Amino acid sequence: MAGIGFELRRLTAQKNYTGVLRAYASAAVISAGPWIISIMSLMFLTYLLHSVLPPDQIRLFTSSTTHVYAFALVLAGPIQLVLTRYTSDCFSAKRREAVFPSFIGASFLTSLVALVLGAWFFMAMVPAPPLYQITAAALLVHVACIFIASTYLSALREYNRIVFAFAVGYGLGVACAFQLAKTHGVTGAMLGFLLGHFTLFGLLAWNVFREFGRGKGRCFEFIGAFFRFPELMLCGLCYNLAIWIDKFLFWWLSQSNIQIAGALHAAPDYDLAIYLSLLSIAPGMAVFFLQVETEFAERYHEFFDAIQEARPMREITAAKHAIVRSLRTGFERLLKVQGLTTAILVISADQLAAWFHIGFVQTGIFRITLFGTLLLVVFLSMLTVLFYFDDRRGALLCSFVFLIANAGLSIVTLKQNEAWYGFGFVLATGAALFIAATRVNHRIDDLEYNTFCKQAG
Amino acid sequence: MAAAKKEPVADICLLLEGTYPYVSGGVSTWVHQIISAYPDLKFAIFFIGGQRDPAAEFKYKVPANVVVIEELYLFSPSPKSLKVLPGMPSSWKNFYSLLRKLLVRLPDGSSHDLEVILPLIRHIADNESVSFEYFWHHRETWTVLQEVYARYASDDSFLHFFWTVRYLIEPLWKLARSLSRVPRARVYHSACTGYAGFLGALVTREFNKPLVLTEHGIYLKERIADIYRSRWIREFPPLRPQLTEPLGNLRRLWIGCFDVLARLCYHSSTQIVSLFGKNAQVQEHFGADPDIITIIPNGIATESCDALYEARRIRQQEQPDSAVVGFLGRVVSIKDVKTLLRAARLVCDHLPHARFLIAGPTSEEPEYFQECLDLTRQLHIEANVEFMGLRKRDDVLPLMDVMVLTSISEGLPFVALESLASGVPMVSTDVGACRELLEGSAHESPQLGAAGIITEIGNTDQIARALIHLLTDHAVQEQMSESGRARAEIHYHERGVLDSYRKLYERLMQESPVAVS
Repeated sequence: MAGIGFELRRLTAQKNYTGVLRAYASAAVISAGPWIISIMSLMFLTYLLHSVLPPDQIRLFTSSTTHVYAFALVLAGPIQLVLTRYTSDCFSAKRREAVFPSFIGASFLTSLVALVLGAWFFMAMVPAPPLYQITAAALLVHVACIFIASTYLSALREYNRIVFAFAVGYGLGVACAFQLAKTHGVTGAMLGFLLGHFTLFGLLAWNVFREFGRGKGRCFEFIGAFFRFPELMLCGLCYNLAIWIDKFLFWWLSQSNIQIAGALHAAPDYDLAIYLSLLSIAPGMAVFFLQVETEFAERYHEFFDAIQEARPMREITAAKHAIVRSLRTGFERLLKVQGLTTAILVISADQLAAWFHIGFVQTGIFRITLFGTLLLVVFLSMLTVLFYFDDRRGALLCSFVFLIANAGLSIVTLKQNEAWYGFGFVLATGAALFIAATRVNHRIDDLEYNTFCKQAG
Repeated sequence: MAAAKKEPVADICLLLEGTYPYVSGGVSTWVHQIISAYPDLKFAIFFIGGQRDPAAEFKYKVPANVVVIEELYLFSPSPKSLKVLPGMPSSWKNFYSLLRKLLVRLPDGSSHDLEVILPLIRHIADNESVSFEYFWHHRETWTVLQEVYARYASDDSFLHFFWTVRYLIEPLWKLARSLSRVPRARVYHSACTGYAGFLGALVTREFNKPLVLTEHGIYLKERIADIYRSRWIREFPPLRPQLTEPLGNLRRLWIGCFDVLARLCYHSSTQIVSLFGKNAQVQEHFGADPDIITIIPNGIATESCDALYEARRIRQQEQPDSAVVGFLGRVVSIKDVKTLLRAARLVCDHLPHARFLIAGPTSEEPEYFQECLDLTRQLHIEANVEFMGLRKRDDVLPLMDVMVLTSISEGLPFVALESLASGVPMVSTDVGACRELLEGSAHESPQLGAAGIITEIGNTDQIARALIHLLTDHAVQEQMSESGRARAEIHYHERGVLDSYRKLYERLMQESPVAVS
């Protein structure tokens, strides 16, 4: 008989609807985690060094390391997000063997960029002993590579190992820096700190190797991912630059900025206040992260299971509502914990100021930026949710707004007096948070539509 | 459409779905016969397939009077790109309101549906910048889908609903878009309803040319049977099963779709051809106008079978007590070979020396063939049954004393005509035209007598009894053999069939008198 009816039997759903839980959440935590550990270590080290080094040397050391961290984050941020996506795609394509080569390639690429930047900045722009310059540049290379290695381990959710490696690395770094500072001054401190980072990177790299083995494949295959996911790269760049742009501007433009050495500037009024408030994001991040990793992840999988198991629409929608509830719970807990933390810190700011020898002006800025970091935690969480829903453009949009607003408003407040300092950061985070929250809402409203009609692959 | 003013390139354009020249079988044999018979007419072929198979080859040597062959594949993956237009043009508002109007109730092929479908197709054909993927992923489409789903199928899997509707619409979309590719001809001739018939309906309106529909089987009936049986339509059992509604929503959607397509084709045809009277009644049942149905059977050149008749006679004289039953056809489930094997067991109980020759390709449904082999072993008839594989009819027909046909569904099978013309009596199930072939139509004159025995479908006992009767009673065999040859010569000679089509074509071509350039 004529007819192609018999071919109809091939016509069943052709697509797999799966939500791959990417490791973005961990990426966010990882970019926040080292940040906290490094600030604390640095503060502790500075405190120790007071007994062995003169104040100007200490300022040179802290300013150099701060610059190293800032540069490393801005530089590694874009690579980190793309790598996270690349490795998680490797996992879902069952190509684990391609992971280690990409680690080698990414580390090489990052080192190269970091080396060029570090060599130029510390050798050409910062007058200091040659060995100090070289060590500082090497530190930048190490820190950037540490971020890259952490990305791989966080993709595996090997947080314990990361924390262990950081503890060992920084413990050793602080101890060595302190010991070498006694004999070799600030250069010794820098060398000791580098030694700690060297150990840390070694530990992380060894862990990556232990997990993935040598594998096989081309080292620079991951570069293709930059072209596939340009939004991720730009988002990583914007976000990390946004986090630092106000500090850069204050170092250079604030009325109280001081020149440490050559291009190394600092803004003591602003710096300590904002670093301290950034430390306060730890509890909120921990709470939200826990919620995402447990409750949200389960609901998220259940949503896609409901589709794949061919449930009626009302059950799919019910599964979506469960996602919404889990997110709501997460944000509620986050706001409770972080709000309480912020409230306590705002109230006890004077007390803290006394402990940390912070001046009156700084205490005021600290109180303001505390609100900024409260908003930042929520924003970072929203950003994470956007990544889960694969709204890369939305993530880019709000990171970009964050960057522009933080830069623009910081310049505006800088033109005023100290009383205004910090408000730029608060408003910028607020704006970014608003956009991110709107995008998350839209994304959830359209979750079924996007899953059926827009999901790539 | 400006293209409609183009000069025709052919006299006849055949709209062929899943058949000639890529697939062999009854319809293809008929198509080849027709094209070869009229070397003075120019033919165009529009082939509609499911998915393009790069390894597929023509199964026939296409005659030189075929001037163009166009191909369309309905289920080939569409290009992925979604970025065609920044937004849906505002003219699509009307499209969506028509779509809603169509889906307010499940389409069932009534004239109400046809009034809505034609403008929809018109719109799709006219707005080529909007790709199917773009339409399908558009938010407004999603909204309409949600409405339809909530209304009719809210207990069903949304996943399956989503893909079912997609596969209902996508081929129609592609057909609408292919209108401009259909070769211009003076007469369009479709070999089935379904997608090819739907295209025929569109083309006949578009180009204002007559459409002939020849149905060998009844496409709609076969699709309905498919859909009832199918396991590829995955539905949950209904939450509240009712006796009155045994069909799930998705199955009803599929059947409704093919119903609409068939009715549209019936309504648009200038002439409907049935191979035999029973099918004409079924077509009428599905909405065809009985006044435009005419009956033209299949035909063969009976003289080509004379040599086979002689060879069989000589063999029977040499082996007077041979008891050979032959089966000529593909070893597939629709031919119900298993019933034949069970009947063979019963025949062998009476006639231990009986032999069964099963000649035909076994590769089409390998699992079914394996099951047949297993069954042969379980019935202990390995010694009596021979699976010969693909053989030429001329090699096997003379070997048979009796031919058997156990099919569940047939049109007017060529193999039965060949059997009759070669003087091989038949035992056949009551499918398609078989009763007419073996017993003669009600108004046959002069009455030629039976050329075989008709049995119920799947009735092993009846088939076995009929076979034993024919194998043991040589006088009856002889008489049926002669009746069959006479009937084939008088009523099923190809010259009659070809004359009828010639007349039909000429009449219709005169109605659209444009010289072929």
